[in-house]
Amino acid sequence: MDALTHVYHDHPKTVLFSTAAALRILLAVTFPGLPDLLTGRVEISTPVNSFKRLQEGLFLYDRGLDPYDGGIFHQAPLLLPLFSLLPSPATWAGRIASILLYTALDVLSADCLYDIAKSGAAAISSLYRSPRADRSWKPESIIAVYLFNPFTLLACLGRPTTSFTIFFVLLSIRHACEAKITTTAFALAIASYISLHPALLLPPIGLLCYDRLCHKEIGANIQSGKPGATSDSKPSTKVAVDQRSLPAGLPFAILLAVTYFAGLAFLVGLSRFLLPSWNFISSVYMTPLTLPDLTPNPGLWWYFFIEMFDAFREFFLGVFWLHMLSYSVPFCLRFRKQPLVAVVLMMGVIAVFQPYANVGDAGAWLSCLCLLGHIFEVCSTHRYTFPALAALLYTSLLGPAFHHLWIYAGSGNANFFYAITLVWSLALLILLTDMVYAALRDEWEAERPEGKGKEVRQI
Amino acid sequence: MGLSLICILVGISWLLLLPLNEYSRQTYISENAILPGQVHTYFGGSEHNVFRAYRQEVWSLGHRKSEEEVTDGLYDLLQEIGLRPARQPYSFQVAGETIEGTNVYGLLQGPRADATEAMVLMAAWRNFDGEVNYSAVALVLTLARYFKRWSVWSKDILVLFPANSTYGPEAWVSAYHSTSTIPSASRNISALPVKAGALQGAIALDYPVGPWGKRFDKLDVLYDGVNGALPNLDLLNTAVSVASSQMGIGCSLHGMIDHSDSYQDRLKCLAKGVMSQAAGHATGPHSAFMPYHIDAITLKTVGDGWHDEMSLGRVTESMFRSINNLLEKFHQSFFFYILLNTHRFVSIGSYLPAAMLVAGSFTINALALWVLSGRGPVESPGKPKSTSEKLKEKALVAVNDGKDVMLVPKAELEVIERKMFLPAIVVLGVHLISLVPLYVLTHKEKSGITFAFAALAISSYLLPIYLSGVLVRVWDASVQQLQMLQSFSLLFVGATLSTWATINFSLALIVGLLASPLSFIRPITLGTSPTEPNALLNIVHAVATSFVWLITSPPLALFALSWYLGKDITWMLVEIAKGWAAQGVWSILVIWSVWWPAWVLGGIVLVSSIRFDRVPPAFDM
Amino acid sequence: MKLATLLALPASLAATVLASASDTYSEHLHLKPLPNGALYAGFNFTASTPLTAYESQHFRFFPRSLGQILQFTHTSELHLRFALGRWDEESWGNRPRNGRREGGTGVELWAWLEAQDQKEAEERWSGLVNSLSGLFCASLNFIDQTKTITPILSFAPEGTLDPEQANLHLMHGMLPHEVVCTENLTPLLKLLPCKGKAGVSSLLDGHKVFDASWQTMAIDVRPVCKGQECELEIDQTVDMVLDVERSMRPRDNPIPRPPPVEDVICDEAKGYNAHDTCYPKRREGEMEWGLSRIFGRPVQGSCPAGSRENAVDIVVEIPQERIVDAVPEDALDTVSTTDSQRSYRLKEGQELDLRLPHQILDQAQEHRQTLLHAHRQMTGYGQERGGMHIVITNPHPHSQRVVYLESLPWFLRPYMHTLAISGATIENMYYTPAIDRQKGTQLEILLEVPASSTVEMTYEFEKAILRYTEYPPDANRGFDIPPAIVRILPSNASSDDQGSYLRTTSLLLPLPTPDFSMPYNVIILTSTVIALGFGSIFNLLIRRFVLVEEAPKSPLAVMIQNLVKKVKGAKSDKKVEAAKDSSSASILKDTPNGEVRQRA
Repeated sequence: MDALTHVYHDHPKTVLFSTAAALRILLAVTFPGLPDLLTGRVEISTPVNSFKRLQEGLFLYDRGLDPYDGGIFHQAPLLLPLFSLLPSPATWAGRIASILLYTALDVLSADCLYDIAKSGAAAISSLYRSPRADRSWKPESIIAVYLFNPFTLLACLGRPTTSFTIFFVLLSIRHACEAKITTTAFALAIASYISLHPALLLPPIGLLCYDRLCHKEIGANIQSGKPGATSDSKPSTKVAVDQRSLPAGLPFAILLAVTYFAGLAFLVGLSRFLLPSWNFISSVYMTPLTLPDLTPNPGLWWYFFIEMFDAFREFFLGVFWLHMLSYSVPFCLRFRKQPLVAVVLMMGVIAVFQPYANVGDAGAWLSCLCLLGHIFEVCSTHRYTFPALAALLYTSLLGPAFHHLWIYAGSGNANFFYAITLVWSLALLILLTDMVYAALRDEWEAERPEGKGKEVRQI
Repeated sequence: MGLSLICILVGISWLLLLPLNEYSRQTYISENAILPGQVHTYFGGSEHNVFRAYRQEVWSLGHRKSEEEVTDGLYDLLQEIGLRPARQPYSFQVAGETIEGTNVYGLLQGPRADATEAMVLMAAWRNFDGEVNYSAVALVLTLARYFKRWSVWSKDILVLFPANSTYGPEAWVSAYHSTSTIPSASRNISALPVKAGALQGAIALDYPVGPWGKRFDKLDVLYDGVNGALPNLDLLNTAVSVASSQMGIGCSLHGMIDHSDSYQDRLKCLAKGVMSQAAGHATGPHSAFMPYHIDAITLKTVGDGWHDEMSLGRVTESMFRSINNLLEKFHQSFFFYILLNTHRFVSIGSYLPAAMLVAGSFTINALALWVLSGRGPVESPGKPKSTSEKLKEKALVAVNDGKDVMLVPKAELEVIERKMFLPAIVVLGVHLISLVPLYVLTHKEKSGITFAFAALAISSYLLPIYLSGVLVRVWDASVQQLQMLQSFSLLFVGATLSTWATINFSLALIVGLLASPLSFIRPITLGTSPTEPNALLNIVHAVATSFVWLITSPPLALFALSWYLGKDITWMLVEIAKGWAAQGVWSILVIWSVWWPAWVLGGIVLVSSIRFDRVPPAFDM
Repeated sequence: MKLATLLALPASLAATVLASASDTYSEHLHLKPLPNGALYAGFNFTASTPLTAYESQHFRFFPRSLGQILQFTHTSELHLRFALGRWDEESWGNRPRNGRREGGTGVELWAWLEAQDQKEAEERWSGLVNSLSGLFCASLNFIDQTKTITPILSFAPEGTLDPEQANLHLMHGMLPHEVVCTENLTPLLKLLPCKGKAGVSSLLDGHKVFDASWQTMAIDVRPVCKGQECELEIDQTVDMVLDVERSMRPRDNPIPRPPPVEDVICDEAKGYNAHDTCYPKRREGEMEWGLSRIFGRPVQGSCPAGSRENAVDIVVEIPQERIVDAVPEDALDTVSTTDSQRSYRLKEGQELDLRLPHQILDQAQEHRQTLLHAHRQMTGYGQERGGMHIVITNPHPHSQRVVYLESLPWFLRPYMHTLAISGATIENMYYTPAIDRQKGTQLEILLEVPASSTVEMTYEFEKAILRYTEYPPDANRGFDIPPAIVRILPSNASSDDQGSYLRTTSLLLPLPTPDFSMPYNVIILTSTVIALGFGSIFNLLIRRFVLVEEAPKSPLAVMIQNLVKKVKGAKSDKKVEAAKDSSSASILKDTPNGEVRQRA
């Protein structure tokens, strides 16, 4: 026991990573049917990220046919050459290989999370320093939550391609925290190339990157200004710096956007180069927009558009997408002082509201929430976090049960599963709003320390 | 705490209310296409002579030496009638036993049918009680010959003679959907040479009477499927209305022949239904069809009356005409119901709250414990004012002084992390351990299974004591951690049971009731000084809880069940193992992997505080 | 009889008046008893007209209504099938006409159309199906883009067409759910020169035809060129297998009541045989049957259209010693008699009935082995995914090359990477994946089935869930999957390029169904949840926090307070203190965390 703890305290990352990888591989080896079973689950695999559909695309691609001249495969073209390197997952070796790949993805994502947490961008920004800054979670515990979170675990075994999206988003955030503009933009470009919606993260991540840039500048100034004192040890919550020393906003934004779009264009061009036709554009990027495939998923869209009257279908598709768009900028404006919060919240919005929602994204977001661990106490004291979590537990048990009753037993109808997806989304939404509240409250308490733990009202 | 107690009480009383007219409903046919009893049945006349002849044939088959001769005989009969016959051998390996046999079946191609839909008419060679099913088999053969002449069939008819009432149909229906074509160690089922379209319904006959014949009084309708799945209520109603209104044959449920429509009888019928559903095992040849969403029932002749085989034949004919009328699958009527008698039922909306309340009580307790653990241990009740005052100034200090802001939260951070970790690990661990008894009891040889069970029973009583020792001594678990531990386990039980209530209501209800004491378990507080005002109460509570905990344990429950059934415990364990391996019955899983861990964790909490030097909190809620 | 002659008169007049060399018409009825009480009856009516006459709209025996449709839609070859029931290979042996005049359950249609490009071809195709659906009272117009495929290997033109020709487009569509019935037979008879009033076609009566165990109607139009002059041939076929016992039941009581005890032949050999116990014995020998009892009416004389010399109307395929009585004797003259079959020619205007008495023949009929067996089944259960399992058996000692064609609707999503074939190797495979709501899947596999062996094909598929408007009224029945078509390619030795065909049965595909009564509830509930999230988030975003004490009192509260002040001014300040206390109480309420903090 003690020896273990010692080892853990010496190199926590190695221990966590190795145990996580071991657990995943062990599961895949001991229950050989498990990965394919999970691949078949609607909660994990959606039309735009299913591993099985990817295999179908590969089958056509390897035979020189256009994988996008059909209604089954809607995933990014560059995944095809990547996966055609692996042996066929029908074989034992192939399955293990795919599991290894996805385990590696998880570990890499966890590594990104670690660096993000280490950078402390969550609590300390150039303009703002949370009064609870010292209470933020240890990076180890955050990645532990990420790696051993059941949703992430199941998603890893289910092998949806959105794991790549998650990884590249986290990578881009990590680079943003290190204030590397080009890599940030490029990673985000890859993410939004694989699946459309990370494009919505461009504003908050850009803001984050800019803020870290300023933060570095300030750090440097202070270093040069009064040696020995770091910005962290400043008692005051505001950091007073002259704006002139900060890097200019406009050229930064232009640079970011240009790199992003250049990266995107490059990737699309590359895919066209690999494929016979431009079909993939509509097949990959119009599918989430027009929702032709209504396979059930834990999101809010599928049943809505099954039951929607044909006349209003397009209108409501537009409304839903506008609704998703409507969060990005307001978050940036309101949380300009703590940009990482904006990023995490935006990830939450995507996880809840995306057309083909899956528990993989939800799990990743829930673990990312731990980056904001320092403000948990605010939600837990003032809001409905525990009920929301209990609701999540109930839905994640009831969801499969009701799906079974509907699809296999035939004794329940679609409304059973729909109700559960509704509750699931609601619980996630409550968590989201709690975090918004907590972040704002934290910011407010930074200005009004005496307001701590008091009843407040909003006007 | 009080609230959850109320929940349980309300849940139980709710059940007792269900038999009343206000809470139950009259059955009705909601699928218009069925038209039960609207057709005139012609089965009779010379068919009776043919039937007698076939019964003689079957009788002589029954006295052959080997199984092969029986199957060959049935095969030839089917062929002569003009059906397309086929055989299907199967074998299961369970608990060191080998269950094997050969199903014989024939396909009657409906002239109007385009091979997309089919109905199943079956008579197991040996019925559920192991008697040879002479008359039913003969009747099915006669009916097949009679149906062959009709041109009304818009669905094919599969005539099936499973070798055995439980595993034969299981093998046949799973092979029909070729879900398990690859022979495994436990089951080796050969594929079906002849197939038709999607199965719309199945009716099994059970009439084990030899050539001397025996007139029956009532038809017992068996409807429980594997894992408590039920056939669509419409099928049941069709059977009842055809038998009683068209043929004037009374119907009964669960063998209750004399069912005076009184409250007691209704309650008794309900209880029997709940018990057999909770067991989740097959109750007849029809049970195996339910998991594949094929509605099926068994008609069993009971009692001693004046109805003969021909009237049973007419009932079957009329039912097949009704099913033949179906345009869509059975989907209109209820799939979740409890029957009070053949004409009254309770729908899910009325009975689900009972189970949900019981399951809810766990969740309520879990929440309470969570809050409590958040609140932390109170030194001793009576002077909360002082503490709060102290706290107040501390809090203020913490805010005003810049230094404390750093220290105080850090401390709390530590607490939070350790608090969550240990209980989570323990709960997870115990649930993992629970796989051991499950595996042992489902894979052990028949010879050693009783011993294994005894060993498990004893060890499951010792495990909590040992674990709590480890917890408290080695990892010095705090009271909060114990509370969280209990909270987690209760939350999990609550969630699982409420999930299970949607799949198998009865099982969830029974396990929930048996496990309900767990939510009231608190550490035994023997260390308290007698001067304490509520020491006596504590002791009483402690004794009561520990006693109840000892009584309501999974092993004991299984033992009690075997005693109640009047069967040998070994027999029951083997049956359970068979059910798990051959039929895929999940009841045992719920008992060992949901109830048992919760019970063990409860035990840990119960005995945890015996070594406590500190006085554990008296939870006043 | 008189009536029939009268009706037959105009046709005969026409025949005599404008008898031209090339306008020909002939009709045949082929009768063959099959094992266990079945009778095969094959009607065939062939008419042809020179292409020149056809183009100049001169229609004689060729049906005008059809001809105009074909001209309008530039259809150069047409094949239309209506089918019902199953051909029982095990007991009936080989399929009639090598299965070439046979369709899958429901309606099947394929045609070669002349068009400059695909688009024009599709327009003409839709024109064709729409006008045909009008002509044959069948809902052929449901063959839309999603049900149309263009097979490559499975079909070859029967007439002298060049399939490689650029402007020829083959279109193929199936409607498995279509129920074929009398209203489809009547228009088919209307196309005949004798309109079913005379000739063998007079036997075709809807009640009997559609009481058959298996029946298929076919219309085939093809251009045939012999040297220079080309002519257009129309070939109408009605094949059926009747259950002799069932169709000989008198029409006034069709109900198969149990026969009276004395009519049942008992097996005295059984020991238990008694007055009340009777083991039914299969009556051996050939069953007795007669045309009028089977078809409900006698033949109304011959159809005078076309040249009558050396015409053969009825062919009965029975062993030599089987007795056939013609009633009346002089109503027909025998053309030829071989030891396996007899051919007869009808006389004009004379009713005819053929009767074959019950007879015990010394040697039973030989059972002809079928070319190939093909079965297709769905595996798995539930409404999410399933598998297709195809078994092709070759009973012959020589290997056969077959083309397996499957045309699947778009809501069945096959996974071709799971396609597994055991027992044979794919020589060639054409696969066109489906696109949701646009086109269906087309799968064509060319493989060589080894001698006397069995080939198994399996692949997995997923069942799509549709929009609630896309379900039929009987949504819970499931959707019909059209039969797979197996073409047995001719061995190099044989001359004909067609080969023979067989079709599997159609399948029922259950799809997950939404609740059809829910649209409003769903729209409301989902919108509520989204609005809740949106509202609460933006509510937080756009407002700012203040302490409760600082929050401006609501005007109503102020008013009340003033009022209270007015009533008793003295007590008002106490109230304020009370308010203060409550606020401090709130502080106490929140401190416990603080305490935990301290303790640890």
